[in-house]
Amino acid sequence: MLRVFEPYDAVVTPSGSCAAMVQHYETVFGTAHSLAAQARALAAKTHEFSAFIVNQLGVTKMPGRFPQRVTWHAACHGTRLAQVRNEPLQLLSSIEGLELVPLPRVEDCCGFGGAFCVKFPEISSAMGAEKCAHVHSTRATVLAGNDAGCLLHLQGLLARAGPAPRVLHLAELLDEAATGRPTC
Amino acid sequence: MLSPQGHFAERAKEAVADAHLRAAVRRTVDRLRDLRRTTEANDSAMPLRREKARLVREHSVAALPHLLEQFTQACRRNGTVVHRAADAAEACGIALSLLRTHAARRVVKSKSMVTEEIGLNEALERDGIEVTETDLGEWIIQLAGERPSHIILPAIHKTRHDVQRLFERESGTTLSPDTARLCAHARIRLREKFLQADAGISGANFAVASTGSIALFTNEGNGRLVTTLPRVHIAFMGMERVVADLDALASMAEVLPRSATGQKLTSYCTVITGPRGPGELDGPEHLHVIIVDNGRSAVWRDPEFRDVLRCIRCAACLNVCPVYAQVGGHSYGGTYPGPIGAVLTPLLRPEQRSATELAEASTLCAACTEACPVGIPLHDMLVRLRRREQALHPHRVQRLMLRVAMRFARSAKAGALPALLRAASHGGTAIVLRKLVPALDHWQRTRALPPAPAQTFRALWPQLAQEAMNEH
Ligand code: SF4
Repeated sequence: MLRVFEPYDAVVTPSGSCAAMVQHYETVFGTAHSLAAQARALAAKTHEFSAFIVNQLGVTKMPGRFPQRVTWHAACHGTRLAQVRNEPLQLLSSIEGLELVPLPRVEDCCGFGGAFCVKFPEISSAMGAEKCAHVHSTRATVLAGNDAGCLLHLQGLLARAGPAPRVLHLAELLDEAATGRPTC
Repeated sequence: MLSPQGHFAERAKEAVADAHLRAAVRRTVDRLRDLRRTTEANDSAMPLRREKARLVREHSVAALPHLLEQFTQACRRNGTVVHRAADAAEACGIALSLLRTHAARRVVKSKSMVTEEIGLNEALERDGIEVTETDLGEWIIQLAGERPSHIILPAIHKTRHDVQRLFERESGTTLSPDTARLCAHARIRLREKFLQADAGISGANFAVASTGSIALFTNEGNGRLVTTLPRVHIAFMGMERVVADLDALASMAEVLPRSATGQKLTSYCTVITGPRGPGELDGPEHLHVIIVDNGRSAVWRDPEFRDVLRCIRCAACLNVCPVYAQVGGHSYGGTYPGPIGAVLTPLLRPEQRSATELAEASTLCAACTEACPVGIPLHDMLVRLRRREQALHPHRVQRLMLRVAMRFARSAKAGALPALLRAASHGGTAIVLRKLVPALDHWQRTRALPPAPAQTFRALWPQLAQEAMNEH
């Protein structure tokens, strides 16, 4: 990783979780490790997708239209570990026609948790079921997020349970708004 | 500490299937965390209070040996006898011999997690001593023959109908399931016990080194009766409970109830300095403090985990934990449930192999770390515990699977992932694959697999990169 991304100015991750992991590389290696300096350098130039747009590019107004009710899944690692909280909401609410509805208990984990979701499938699914109930209660037509793991898990749960809102990554939603072409 | 039967995973599975239990736990933790949040949101000084509390506890833990020494000397000056117990057996033994010396056969207790940890009630009862828990929740648990399922609300998994049945069995009378009536009944029954008791046993929320005092923060008033009515008072404290002085204690008095129940102060804040003095009208004739180590020194010597000793047992981490909300306290199989239990149990009981799996039972969502008023990095500690376990007992199969997955990801240019997804979605191959890969089966029982993309990102990338270059 350190070698592959060396020549680039910035590294953008689609998931807050990945950004958080890279940003904490130094603690993984240990500060005394020979690669610590490189780890620090990579951490400094790695950004979660929405944070990159808002904080690095300085863009807060998104083009296009998206006339739907959208609710946002604030993934734990993105918010608590990578400290990306407002950026995605800022981008979403700048889109014409988009109605952003708050998700009840938005701070609760969805139950994905990497290997956790298959090591403890019952607990993971029970947590996910609560999240899905909250999503349904918003009557949103789209559930958007910036963590691929959570979205995979929630999409899987929602799809099994019957008619459900579409699940989109923020990038997919922005693309759809800008181009008018549905992603899925 | 109770040695649990079986594994967390099995207990948790049963708990998740118990809709009644889950609803009760969910209701209670939501109420507690909302109370805390409302109080914190309306208090602009809260960040400062938390920062001060963190510093107080950081200092307490750093200076622990010194503060314990200071506490012991101050106690000696005011007539309190201090005992040190290395482990559970020694702690129970000291209490037993004290009770024998004072010919005490009836004991009333106020809430104390450390006495749960050392199994004190069982030890005393084996000796024929009658022990009555006088905290309402603890009494309910005692009557049910169970263990607390929450640090501050031990009986959250019990309904009032459960309580009615337990009280009826204990008293041999018929009762109404009305909550106020049940409380009134408990008050009358417990009052008899207070008046008959020869000795009172309490915990200690904190110990104050400079004055040799112990502090109890309670809401029911039973703590005051336990520590003043009987002629002997024995207070148990985990060795990390000590703070430097009354100023430090004031910081704790502010932050503990705010984090626990959103209260600005508990209904009763009791600071006890020595037994009844000459000319004083109440208080016990004898006051003993038993300082319990039981694995704490080893944690203190461990730089990776020393900070966990800052814990003030407020339970804020339980109330925000998404796993605790699903599985309840008993699944953790130790005295301390939730995130603090998942960290503390394997550290205090390294010989209890099954406790190490608690670190796995977390999504590392970090809600606990965010909630903790004394800044314990709970989710980081779970990662450290996992790493330590992996180093001590490498999980060969898991490693192999990881290596296979890495190999697969590297060679994925041929569109192997879409192919795998398609194969795993339906038909005969899906059934075979699910048998071969349990993780796939665990996923698919409740979750659909994502539709297979026509092309992987890796395959698309060269073209996308070219397009981006051209746009520049
Ligand atoms: S770890 Fe922190 S939040 Fe949890 S009980 Fe202890 S002090 Fe409270």
